[in-house]
Amino acid sequence: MATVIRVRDLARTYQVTEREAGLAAALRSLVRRRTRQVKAVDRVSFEIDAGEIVGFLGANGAGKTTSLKMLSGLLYPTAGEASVLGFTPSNREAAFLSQITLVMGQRNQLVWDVPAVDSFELSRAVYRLPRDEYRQTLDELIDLLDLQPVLGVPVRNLSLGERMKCEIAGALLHRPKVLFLDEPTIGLDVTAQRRIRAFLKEYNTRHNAAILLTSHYMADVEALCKRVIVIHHGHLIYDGDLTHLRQQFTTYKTIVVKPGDAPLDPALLAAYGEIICEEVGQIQLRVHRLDAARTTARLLADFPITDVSIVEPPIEEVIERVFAMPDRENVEPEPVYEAV
Amino acid sequence: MHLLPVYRIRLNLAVATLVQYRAALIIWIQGLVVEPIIYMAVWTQVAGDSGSVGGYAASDFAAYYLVWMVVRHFTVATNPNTIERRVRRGEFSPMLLLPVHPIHMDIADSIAYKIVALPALLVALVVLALVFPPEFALQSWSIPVFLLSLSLAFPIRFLFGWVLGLIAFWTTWARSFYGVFVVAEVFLTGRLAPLSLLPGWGLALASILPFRWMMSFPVEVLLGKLSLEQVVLGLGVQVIVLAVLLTLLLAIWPAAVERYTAAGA
Repeated sequence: MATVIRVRDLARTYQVTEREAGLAAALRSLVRRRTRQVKAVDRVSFEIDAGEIVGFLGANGAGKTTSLKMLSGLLYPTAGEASVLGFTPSNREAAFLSQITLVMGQRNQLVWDVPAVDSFELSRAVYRLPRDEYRQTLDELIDLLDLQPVLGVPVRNLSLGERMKCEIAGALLHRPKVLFLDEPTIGLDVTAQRRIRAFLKEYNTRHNAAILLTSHYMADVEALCKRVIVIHHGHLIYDGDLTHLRQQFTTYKTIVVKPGDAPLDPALLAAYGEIICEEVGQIQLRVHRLDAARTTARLLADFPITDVSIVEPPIEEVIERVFAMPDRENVEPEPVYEAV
Repeated sequence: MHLLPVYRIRLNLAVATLVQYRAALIIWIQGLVVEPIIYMAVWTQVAGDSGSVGGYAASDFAAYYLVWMVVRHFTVATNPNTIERRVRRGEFSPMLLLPVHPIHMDIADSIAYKIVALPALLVALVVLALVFPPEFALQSWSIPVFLLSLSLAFPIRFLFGWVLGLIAFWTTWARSFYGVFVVAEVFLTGRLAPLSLLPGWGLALASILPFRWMMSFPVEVLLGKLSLEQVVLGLGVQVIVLAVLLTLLLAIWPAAVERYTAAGA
């Protein structure tokens, strides 16, 4: 696989002005301005191959969008190097811009007052697409995104989901080889989210495009990304398989116990692990991942249980834990629940 | 040449957008007509009382402002405030992702405005010419040279506004500065009064800066107020001003983009 994105020690620092609330502080800041350097992205390095879909995860303000903007040539890095398809993004060469796209959720690239298809025509001219190729790509996008009913409607009259689908179509008409997607499903209903996910997967397969995707919806990440990059307070803290992310940042698994005819006494089960959920027909226990098998065997031996299963913690929980960390130097260990 | 289809399609889009909002269009056109009517009414009254003002009789003022309307219409350009808004709100981001310079879209948009508002301008010119009869002293070369100077005035005004707009990449908030620019434009482009009515230093200032060359000069050409030598010299100055502004844009733009923080987008 050819590497299409190379990032070495990429950094971006912003200078932000600060002041207390209120008019007096505003007037004081007129004379004496207090500024602070904020490291939005701090020496981040990674590589992405053609055809890869990589989830770019991080809490709000972690540096995801700043990274995407640097990789698409919108922002100049303060330090470090980035190469996308062999180009330096900040040089913003036309040949580079013609092969990438950046989709930012809810950011309107289409002309508001005319149907999306008219904006698509402008893209055809801007990217100098041959008519046949343009028509073929447009038909493909119309089919994959189910755009036919909305093509002739002014963009301002479209629902958020319809508009987002049109934005994505417009951003892909030139068949970019690298896609930077910043919250492409934000604000969309479940059906629209699923449709866009399926489309991105299909586009990736058909065109062997590399996709770097940020999303706060873990369903997006789980459906699309085998690999994730986690960025926290500007630092890259994880780059690897999504399944390994769980192992690295959580030390527990969940045992789901379904009792037989006789109800189980939760007080007795508490000795085997932390009870995290009690529902009719099932109880969930949190145990250390190394003890999961042994504890399960003991539960089966000690109680009249009809069914038991061991499940990994939901990815949302893992990410929540990662995001809650103060910074990478102060990562607190996961509390361990000793098995009885 | 590859930009021609971009211009054609963007122009179509801009026209389609403008005609969507009829009420807004009528208000814009009113703005186009009301201002010169006020100037015409005031100056023809002043000239009528005393015969003439600074060599301008009432019919000269009528001619001046009719031509001024035409020049203003064809030199309408992107407002620096628009560029400031794009910088402040991150609206430049989608434009910067395209493999063509954003200025081309703005040029197409301003041409679209000229096309859409042209019929209203023509009607307004006819009506005003009937109410305020003008008097022209045309030379044989007046109309072609006027068209030439007008075709230079538009890019001068356009580039001047754009270059000023780029200041926002450094300051983010630049409206107050543009307020000064608007006041200067009112006095130094011959909008409030013909430049020949200004004190000497005012005319000098308007001539040193791009103001005279982006509006007043084409009006002076068509009114026959200039000798052939002055006209040739003026055209030369227009070419120089245009070249300076273009050089400034090309020099400043990369640095401006480097400063861009894409705030909020």
